[in-house]
Amino acid sequence: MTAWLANIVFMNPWILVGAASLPVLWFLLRVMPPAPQRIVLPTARFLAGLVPDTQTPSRTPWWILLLRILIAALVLLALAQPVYNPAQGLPGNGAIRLVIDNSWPSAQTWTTQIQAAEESLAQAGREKREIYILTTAPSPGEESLTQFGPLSYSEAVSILRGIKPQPWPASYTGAKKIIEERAPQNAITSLWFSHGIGEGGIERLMEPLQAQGELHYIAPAPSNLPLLLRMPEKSGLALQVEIDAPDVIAPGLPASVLALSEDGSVIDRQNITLEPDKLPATVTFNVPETLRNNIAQFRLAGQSGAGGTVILDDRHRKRNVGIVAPPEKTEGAPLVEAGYYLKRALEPFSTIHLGSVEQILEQKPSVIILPDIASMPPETLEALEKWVKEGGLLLRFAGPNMAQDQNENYLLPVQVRKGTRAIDGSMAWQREPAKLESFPQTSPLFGLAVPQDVTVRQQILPEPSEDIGEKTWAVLSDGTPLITAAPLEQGMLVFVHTTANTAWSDLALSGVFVEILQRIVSISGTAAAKDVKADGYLEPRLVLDGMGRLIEPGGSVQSIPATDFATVKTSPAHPPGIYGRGGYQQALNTGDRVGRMGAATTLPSGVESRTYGGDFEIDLMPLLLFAALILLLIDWLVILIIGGNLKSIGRFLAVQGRAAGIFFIFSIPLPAQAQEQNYADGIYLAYMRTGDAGVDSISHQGLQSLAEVLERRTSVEPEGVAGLNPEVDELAFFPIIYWPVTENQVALSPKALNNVQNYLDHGGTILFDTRDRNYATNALIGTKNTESLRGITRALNLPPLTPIPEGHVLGKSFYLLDSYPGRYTGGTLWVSQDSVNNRDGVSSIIIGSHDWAGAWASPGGSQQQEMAQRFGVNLVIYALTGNYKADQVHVPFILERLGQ
Amino acid sequence: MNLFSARLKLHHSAEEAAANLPDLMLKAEKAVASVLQGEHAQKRAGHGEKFWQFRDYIPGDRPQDIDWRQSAKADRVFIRQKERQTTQSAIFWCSRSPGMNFSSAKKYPSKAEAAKILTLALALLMTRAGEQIGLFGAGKTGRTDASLHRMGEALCAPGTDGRELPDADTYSLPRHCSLIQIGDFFMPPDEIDIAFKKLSAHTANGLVIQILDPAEMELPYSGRAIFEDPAASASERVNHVDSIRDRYKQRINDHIEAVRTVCRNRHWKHHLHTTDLDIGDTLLKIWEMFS
Repeated sequence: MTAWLANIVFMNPWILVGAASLPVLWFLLRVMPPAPQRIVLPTARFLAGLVPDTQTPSRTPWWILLLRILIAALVLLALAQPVYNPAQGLPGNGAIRLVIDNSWPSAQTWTTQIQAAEESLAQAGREKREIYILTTAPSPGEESLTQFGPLSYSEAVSILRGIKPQPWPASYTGAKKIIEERAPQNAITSLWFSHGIGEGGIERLMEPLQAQGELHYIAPAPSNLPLLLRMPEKSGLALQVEIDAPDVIAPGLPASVLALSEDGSVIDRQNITLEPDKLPATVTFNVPETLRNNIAQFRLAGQSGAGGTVILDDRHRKRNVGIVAPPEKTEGAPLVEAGYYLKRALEPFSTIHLGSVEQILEQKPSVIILPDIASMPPETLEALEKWVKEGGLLLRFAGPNMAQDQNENYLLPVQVRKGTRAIDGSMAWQREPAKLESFPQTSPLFGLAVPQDVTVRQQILPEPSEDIGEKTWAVLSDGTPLITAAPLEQGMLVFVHTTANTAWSDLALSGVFVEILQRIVSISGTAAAKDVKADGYLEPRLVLDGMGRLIEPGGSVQSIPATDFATVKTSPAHPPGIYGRGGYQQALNTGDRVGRMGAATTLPSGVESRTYGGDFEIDLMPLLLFAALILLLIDWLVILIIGGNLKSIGRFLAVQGRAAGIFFIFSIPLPAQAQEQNYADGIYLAYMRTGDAGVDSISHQGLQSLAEVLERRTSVEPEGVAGLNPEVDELAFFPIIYWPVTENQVALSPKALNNVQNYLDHGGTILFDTRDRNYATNALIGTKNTESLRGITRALNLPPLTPIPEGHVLGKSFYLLDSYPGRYTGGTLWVSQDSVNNRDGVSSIIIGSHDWAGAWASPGGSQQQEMAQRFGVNLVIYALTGNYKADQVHVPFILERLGQ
Repeated sequence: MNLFSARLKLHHSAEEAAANLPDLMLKAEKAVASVLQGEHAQKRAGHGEKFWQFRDYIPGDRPQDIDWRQSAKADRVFIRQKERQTTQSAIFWCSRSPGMNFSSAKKYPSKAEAAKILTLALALLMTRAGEQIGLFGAGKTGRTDASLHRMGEALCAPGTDGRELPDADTYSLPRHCSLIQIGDFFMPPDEIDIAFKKLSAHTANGLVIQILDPAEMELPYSGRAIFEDPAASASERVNHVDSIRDRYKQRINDHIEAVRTVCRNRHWKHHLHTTDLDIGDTLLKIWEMFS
């Protein structure tokens, strides 16, 4: 406690002298008594002239006095501006150098780093010291680092603001070179605002910094250290990511990973708690197959940066692959079936369908594999060709059937010769099976390791042609093609000149078989599949910036040779992102290129190390003032209670509460006209505002005069008329809503649609009026307003409509009517067909084109107007009474039956 | 819209006023029920209602007046008419001064409410006994439910008047009536005496029910206070309520005693009711005292 107190420093200590006045205050307060209570008493007259023997000690009770003295003391203390834990000065007294870590992990600690750096900068500015700023990661487009300085405070601030985290690792060697080149003459104190992760070679920079002066290393607290997200090396079928962190993190640190689609919407979210002894931790996503292909990246929730982002490429996308083969046989020898090898090879990264071509086409596959299938019915062939032309990839394998095919060269990338060539046959001069040559540069398979033990004993040869070279994806050691491919409109035909089982070659037994299939499958499904031919470089498509956003690559970003892609380190020239060639894409992720994460814990001796946020400064003044205010409120309450004015407190609170409520309402930026009135107190006739002032005013006037008619003639006494907006107003209060439809009717938002649907579902009635004299008798079509109406009702769940039948209750609920005129006569009135379905016989919507409001609103007493008013009366009574009136209609029959 | 709302407001206030009546009547009837139960044992036999004649039932007669035995003998329905007794009329005066609306605590009814209930309950008992009832200042007396209802509505009419005593100058009492006055009677005894003197010229049979709130009896306040008189719009400032409480109680009891004396001088009956007491019990006591 005393230590705590010792940390408080007063900025204006002389104000405390005022404490001497507190005793005076005590005296003053003592003589000011509280006001007497006022009591209403009818017998007050009997009190006249009664003089009390003793006076009430009209002194303030001591505890109220104490309270007030306390308030005064608190205010005094607050004015003296106490500060808890005032910030210490900067170390050293010469020039100062801020070393800012801005490599990939810093995105996650950036605000703390910059905040601390700004505080120190402000201190340095106050102490008028020379400032140098050094970053550890190069800026985009630059290979080397720069040190800024010497700088003045304002220059330094603008430079600090300009520094951004970068998505690549730090270059400590580069930094070392710079400070050694530009060593100042005097000692320089260095403050290193780090992200806490020990990237390789940190001591290489620390040594020269220490050599030039003091070094303070400031790192985040263990629970705030950056995390790294990466794909596990072997994920198989499951969709998994790994979270890595230095093992000094606090146990039970929560983290959550988002699976995002290409447009950034969250597909799934997994939460995990990290334990320091169980790192890296694996997060498994369980996403439905259909959604799985939509996942474009994984990202740590919160500030993720490049290290917390994993971009998925084609390799992680599961394809639908159809293999034309009989479904799994229960007996037989699987090891001689081509389908068996293909299935085993494709299973880890694709969804496989077995069956006939027709069955497979129904599954909308990206790839169809025909293992040694030559002839098929013409219509099947046509369906297959159509599918390929629309973007499918057809992968065919040779085999004995293909060799005998009479119907050759259909749906093949190259013309093939009839018959086969047995390389190790007795007539062959070579006498040994052909091996696989390395893949040509133009092939999408380029870069795959070529095993030496794969041999091909028999193959189908293509007819020589000019373009055979560019169609070839793989060649054998004797120069004959093993895999050829050619585009067909949007699609792709790929032909493997040997079998998919072990009959002609042992390719199917080799690991490269799986990789070849994976590459080929990953090409599929992209419209640009035919563009796969390019040189052996992967061009940058989209790259990550330091904060983990995907952006267009800048000019300084370079292509990566396909051969080096697996080993290339991220750098300004190769930032993490998506690289690709033709339809083939690969992602370069930070997580795959850095090793296990470790904290920078082992620092050279002499380095002062601390964590961020250690020296926060608290201004105690607001706290003290707040406490004084609370005490003041308590004092006020006490006075009121003593004065017996509890009722007035209640009143006061009610008023304040209402005021606060009003304030709250006004502070909502919604159209505040809503709900001003209490519609539940009586019957209100309501209409929908259309936004057209003329139409709205006619609706209002029309309903107003209808209300007067109703009051004059019936027991319905409407309180008034309400104009409604379906987006914001509660509709439940109104028995019927008049909805004039205009041409410019705006489409309703889902919220408004819900509102209206809810109203209709719970017994409301809406009268739609297209006001355009639509004479179509058998359908609601034709006019613009009708189309607007259709726009409204399209998304509503409405009962089927019918032209109003003769003898409908609407014509009998008050007046007996046989037509329903408004400003127009004739035309059809539509009501719900099934008007007895548990809605008390009231049709939920009534549609017509008669412009009733126009008729109600216009002055004068023509016959037609009278009829329109009668319709209005009937309508309201109908909405209010339901089938009660229908029963009334039947009274004569009931009486008749009773024998009267 | 203003048109409707203005009209409906009028509608509503009348209805709200009428809505109070059943509640008041119910309370009055409850109070009466306790009296009638107490009455049964002693009053039932030989109350001197002598048979007079049979006559034909005409619509409007009370069903309980039908003599079923006689009716069964013939094809007509007979009413057993009793000997006509000269009925007395009872005139009620119920104070409407602003002070009557006082209630010191939520659990107590206001003095005005207690007064109204007592008035109605007594009136109810009177009509049951076949006597005419009427309100002081209102012209008609009657003995039917309708007159009771009329009286109730008049009592429930909102508002107060400043009158703390009945005004004998403006209304002349019917002959041989009983006068029942209910109020707090805080006027000086001399003024009360003058008023009662005038009234007693018309009636020998008087009952004064003085209603007080317990707080008016006990003065349960303390400390410094300003007491406001709702009727006189005057106020009294007391610096130490506790020290004058005993003297106040002395005064108020003296006043009650003075009112009692004034009544005794006129040979009228006086009863003190405080609002913390059960109205039924008070009613029973008054009824016994009165009949």
